[in-house]
Amino acid sequence: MATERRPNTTHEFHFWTALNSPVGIGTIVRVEGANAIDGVLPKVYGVVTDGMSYSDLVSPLHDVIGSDSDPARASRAATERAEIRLYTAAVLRHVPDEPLQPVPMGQVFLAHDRDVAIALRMDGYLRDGEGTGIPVGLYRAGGMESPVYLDADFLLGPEAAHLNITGVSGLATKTSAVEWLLASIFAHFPQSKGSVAAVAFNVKGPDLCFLDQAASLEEHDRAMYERLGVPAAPFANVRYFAPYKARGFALNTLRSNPALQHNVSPLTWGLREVMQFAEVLLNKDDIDAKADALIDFVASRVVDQPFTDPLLGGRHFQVRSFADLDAFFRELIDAMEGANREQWRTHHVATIRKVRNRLVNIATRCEGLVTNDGHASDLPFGSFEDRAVYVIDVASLEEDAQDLIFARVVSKLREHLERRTLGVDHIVVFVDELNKYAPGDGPDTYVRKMLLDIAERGRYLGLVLFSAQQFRSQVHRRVVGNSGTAIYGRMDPDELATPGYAVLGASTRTKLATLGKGQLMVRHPHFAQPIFVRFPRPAMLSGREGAERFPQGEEPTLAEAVLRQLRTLDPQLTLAPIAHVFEGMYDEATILRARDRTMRERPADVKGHFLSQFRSVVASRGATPAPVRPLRPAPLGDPYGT
Amino acid sequence: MGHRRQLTARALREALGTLAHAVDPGGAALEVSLSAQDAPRTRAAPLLCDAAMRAHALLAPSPNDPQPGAFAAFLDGVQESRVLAYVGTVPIVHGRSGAVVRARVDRRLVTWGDLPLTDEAIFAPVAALPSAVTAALEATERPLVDTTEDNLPLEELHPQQMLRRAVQLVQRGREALEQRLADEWCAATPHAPLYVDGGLSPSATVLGGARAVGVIKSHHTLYATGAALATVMALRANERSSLFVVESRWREPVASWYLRLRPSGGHDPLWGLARIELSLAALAAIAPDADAACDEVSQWVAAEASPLALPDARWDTMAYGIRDCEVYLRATLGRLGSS
Repeated sequence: MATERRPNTTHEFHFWTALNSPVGIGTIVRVEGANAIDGVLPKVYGVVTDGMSYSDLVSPLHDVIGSDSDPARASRAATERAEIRLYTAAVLRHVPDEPLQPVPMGQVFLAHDRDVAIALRMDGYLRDGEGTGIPVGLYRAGGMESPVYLDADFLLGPEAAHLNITGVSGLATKTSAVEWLLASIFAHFPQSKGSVAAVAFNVKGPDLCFLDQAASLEEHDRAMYERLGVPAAPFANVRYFAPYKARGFALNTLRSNPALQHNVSPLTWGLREVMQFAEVLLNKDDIDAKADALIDFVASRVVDQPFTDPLLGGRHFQVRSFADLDAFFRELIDAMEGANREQWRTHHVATIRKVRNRLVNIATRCEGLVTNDGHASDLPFGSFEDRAVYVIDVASLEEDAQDLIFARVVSKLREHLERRTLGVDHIVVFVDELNKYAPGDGPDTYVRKMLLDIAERGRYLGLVLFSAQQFRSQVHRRVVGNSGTAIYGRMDPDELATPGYAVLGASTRTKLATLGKGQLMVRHPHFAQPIFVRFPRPAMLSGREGAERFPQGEEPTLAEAVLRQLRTLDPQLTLAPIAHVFEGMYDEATILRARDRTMRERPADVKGHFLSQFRSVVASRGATPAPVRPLRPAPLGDPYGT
Repeated sequence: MGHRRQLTARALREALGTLAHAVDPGGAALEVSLSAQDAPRTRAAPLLCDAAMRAHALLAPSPNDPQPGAFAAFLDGVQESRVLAYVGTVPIVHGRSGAVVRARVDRRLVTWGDLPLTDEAIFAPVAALPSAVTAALEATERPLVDTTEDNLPLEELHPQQMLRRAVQLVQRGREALEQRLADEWCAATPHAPLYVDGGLSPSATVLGGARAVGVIKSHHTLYATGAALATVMALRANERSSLFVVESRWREPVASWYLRLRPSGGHDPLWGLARIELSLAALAAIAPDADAACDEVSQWVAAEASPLALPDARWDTMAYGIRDCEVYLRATLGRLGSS
């Protein structure tokens, strides 16, 4: 129905329903025009965006008078007033597309599966055989239940890419939505478009620590999985990576239950892995141009390069670790002091002192992640597997370590994708708490710049960002703006009051503020209007459930930790043959170095190789170690003294 | 009535051509514009139970009990008479009428039966019209009702009298529709109370014991005189008058009484006052004691005081269900005046 005051237009129309109609906000409907245009009856698809209900009561005062000012009596009247349910729908699609005319007067029907596909323009990519539809959930409105699909070309590129999820914390919607969507992608991503894997950063508690463990699903969830064509199973191929704790032998992760250690690996980097990203940890306010130049010099000419200098007496340095770097700086500063020189290759000694302090402190600040001895245990860049999920647990790390991990991992992913050597053609990177890493205001950090780069250029490489945050308005708008698909769970009312949501009607915003678990609003390039869907509960354990079922294991002893890791190379290994190593003869650092060498070299004779490291240690103790001279203190008033 | 197009001044103008001049349809209906001809009157009526007219207070419903919704349905009709054209001094009137029963189902009102009953015709004194005009009117496929009166020469007939005659015939048509619906309801559901707007029809089916209750909102004739009239006008809210019998030549006697639906303070003494009609057979069937039966039916009617029928000006005595009938008929038939 349309009136002069509320006419139908090309983008909006109005209709009324019976009081018991299942129509509501978000319902998709179909209007069938009665008059053919060029021999074709027009059809218009719309989604309900607003509704109102009113009776023939002209003034509330009339109701008061009629019930003798007794509210209870009003509800007991023998006859209810006539009531209308009037709805407004935003147009999703006109069929045919031309001529584009106001929505005609006609019958209004609830949309069925085929109508939903046409209305959302999914018919263009839901083809038999090589369709690119990725199920995002079930449209459940108007008594109907229809699958809704995203277009992989607009979700994982190259036409558009990236996905952003917004919702209040504590409802587990954001994490669940990502888990569900990754499962959907793994099930439906066309083989013709290549392989796909995911890298997820676990930034909060045990959220992503149990993706390989099956959850108990209700029957209705199983029915949804079946309807959407996604196996109701946890991820089959998951690998976990976490840095060590400060002592270096227990991993810093909440996935520490002994039963779950088979796919947990350490994440450790040495100097060569970190130097490239030292910028991440060095505040720009802390490093001036002079220091920056020195850092560049060290990174390009000293690290991993045979280096010699006349001032250093012709000695050849091979800097491969932070320990080596520290030794190099000590020698350099000593030589400069001895020669009474303040300049070395145009770098002032104060600058050298400062840079040394900053770089060497990285190993201390990121202890457990950054190793002094250069040992590295990394993600399998170059051999990523199709449909695999790689989870990096950074939840318990300091901010500096988090930033470093994020920057390096994403950079390595990009490098390998550019060279087509990652092992898969597409990689989905999931980052939660986006408002922390890419805030809309504040200093321009390395991480934020990297996220912007991914958002703006990643889709051409197959590097796709799935991000989540509680307050979308606080995230840099170029990051969220470049997300081709946006998903909204239950929203904070204050967030909904920000200008970015002005395009949504009041009814839609009200619905967003009251969405239940598993309900989402989806914006996608093909959808002319936001669409509400429901997704099934993820088939893997949530963080809370996993923590209950697989509680954290006790922190292992040094012997237990070393044995556990060596057994990944030799499952038959027992503690007895190597027990004497842990009896106090050797310190922890020595033992851990032996472990690291063994893990790195992966010998056939694990026990023998491990024990042989200590024979070398015993032999080396025969020689008297050279004394380490302390560095001279910085002069008073030195601005780089700290 | 099939799918005939609505007859409009334009359509009639096209049919009559130069034979008549059309009248702008924007004016008020004749039911409004013609002044009443008969003067109001009072008439004594024999009391049925009491020796003298007196007020009877109704028992107020319990605050905790739901409002009794005894009426199963509401019956009302509407009519509209408009002058479409004049042939000389002779008016051609287009009359439409309709009637509907709206049944109450789960506190909601829905149309009973398939459709409302409607009627439409052209009213004119055929003897005063040229044959060409008569032929043109017949070509409109609407019934042509002759309003010629035998008791007066045509040349002495006042044009307004012709209009009154037409309106009277339209009213008879509406009453016929209402009676037909009442008969159908009473035959189908004789024990389900039917709220009838206006007086009861003379139909034997309606007066034979079915529970059709007539509620008359206007008081062109007051069935009380002298002290009895004073008692009636002094009724307070939720008080009824004594039972009396209304006798007429065109209908079997029926029981009747006055009921004050709303306090009349600050209003005309007839404000909020309705007259109730019930067949004598139904009165006896509801309760052996006539006064008890009268009290019960009065409770039925009083319960319909809410919701208010506003914004209708007659809301003081109009039941919401009756207003719903009129709104429905106007929506279904277009612009029509109420009875």
